[in-house]
Amino acid sequence: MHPVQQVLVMNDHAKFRTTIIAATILIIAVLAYSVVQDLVLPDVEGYVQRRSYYERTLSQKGLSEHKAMYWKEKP
Amino acid sequence: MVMPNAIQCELCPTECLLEDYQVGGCRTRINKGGTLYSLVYGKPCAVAIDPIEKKPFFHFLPGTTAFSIATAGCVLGCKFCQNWQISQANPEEVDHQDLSPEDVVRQALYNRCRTITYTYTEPTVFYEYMYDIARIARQYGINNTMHSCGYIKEKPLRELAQYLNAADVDLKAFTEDFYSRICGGRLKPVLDSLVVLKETGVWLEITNLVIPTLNDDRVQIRDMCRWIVKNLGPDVPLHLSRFFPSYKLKNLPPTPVATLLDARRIAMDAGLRYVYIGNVATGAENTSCPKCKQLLIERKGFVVLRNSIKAGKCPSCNTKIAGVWG
Repeated sequence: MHPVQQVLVMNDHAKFRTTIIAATILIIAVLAYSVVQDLVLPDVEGYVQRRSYYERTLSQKGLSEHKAMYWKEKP
Repeated sequence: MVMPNAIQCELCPTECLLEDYQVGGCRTRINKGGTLYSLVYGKPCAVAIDPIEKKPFFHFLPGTTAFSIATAGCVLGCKFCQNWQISQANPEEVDHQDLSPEDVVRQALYNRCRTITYTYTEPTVFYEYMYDIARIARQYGINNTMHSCGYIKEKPLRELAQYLNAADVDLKAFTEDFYSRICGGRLKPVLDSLVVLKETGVWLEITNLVIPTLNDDRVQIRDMCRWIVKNLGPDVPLHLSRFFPSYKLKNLPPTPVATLLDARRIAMDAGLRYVYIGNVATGAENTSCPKCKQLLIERKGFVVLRNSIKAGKCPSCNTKIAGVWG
């Protein structure tokens, strides 16, 4: 057997370790996607929609952008 | 998760938490890059000269005119709103004109209006515009009045009150349930605003739209009137207005006149001295002396036919009549 082919052939231990690592990565990816889908994507999507509405409509209608007043005491 | 740049509006008790480029529930304030901006400053959608009685003010400079302005938007969402076409619209959906605070005062002076009134929609939504107009108007001896739902936080109200001469506040009902279900707000902040206005010396009148089946309960009306007498005094004029089907409450009939007359009697029994009925001709739109019952101001609709009050007193028995007369 060619020396390179010898390296690529995995024994059972190596196969098991590779499977475990792959499964772990998959689980982490699924969990991460779930978190992103629930928490981050709606915010990003909402931001894009709001920004788009502002740029396309609000800013074209001649409305004012006068700084609003605040009443909280400054720390 | 709250994104960076989110800010909380401090103007009304709703306290909207606004993310970047989000517009508040009032439709008129936007968070842009962590700073709050008013979209309606100097952009009124309604401008008119009205009799002051239309606001309604019956004890504040009767027979004079008020330069009246409004922008789009409202802090509440009352299902019976009579001006819903502008109060429940976004500023970008209605026609507006450019009118700076200086121009408003100039036009009021030109048209010999003794008062500028912030009305039609909820003036709280154009707070900065109203505040700047009021400051300039004060310098020129013009009065500032507002017709408001009173749904505003204490600090902005106190700051505004230093330039306000009079306020007519809609006390829409006397239950939290009504405010929650019908208006999308709360009763308590409105009651707090009424007390603050009284404390700060702003002339106060109250309007209550009597809606069949929703807020015409006799006990509720009695409790409301007793609260007014106890916390604001018996001299606060109360306007009981007739409801007509509108907006999302087209399924209800107009308020029966008998209900309004009954409500007026309940209010006077509770101790209120000046109770009027609006939106219908009943004869209960005149002002009489609470002591000798002499007719002092005779009105027909928004027109003052006769005013015999002299130096704020009844000419017959010399009783002081609460109000701003001269």
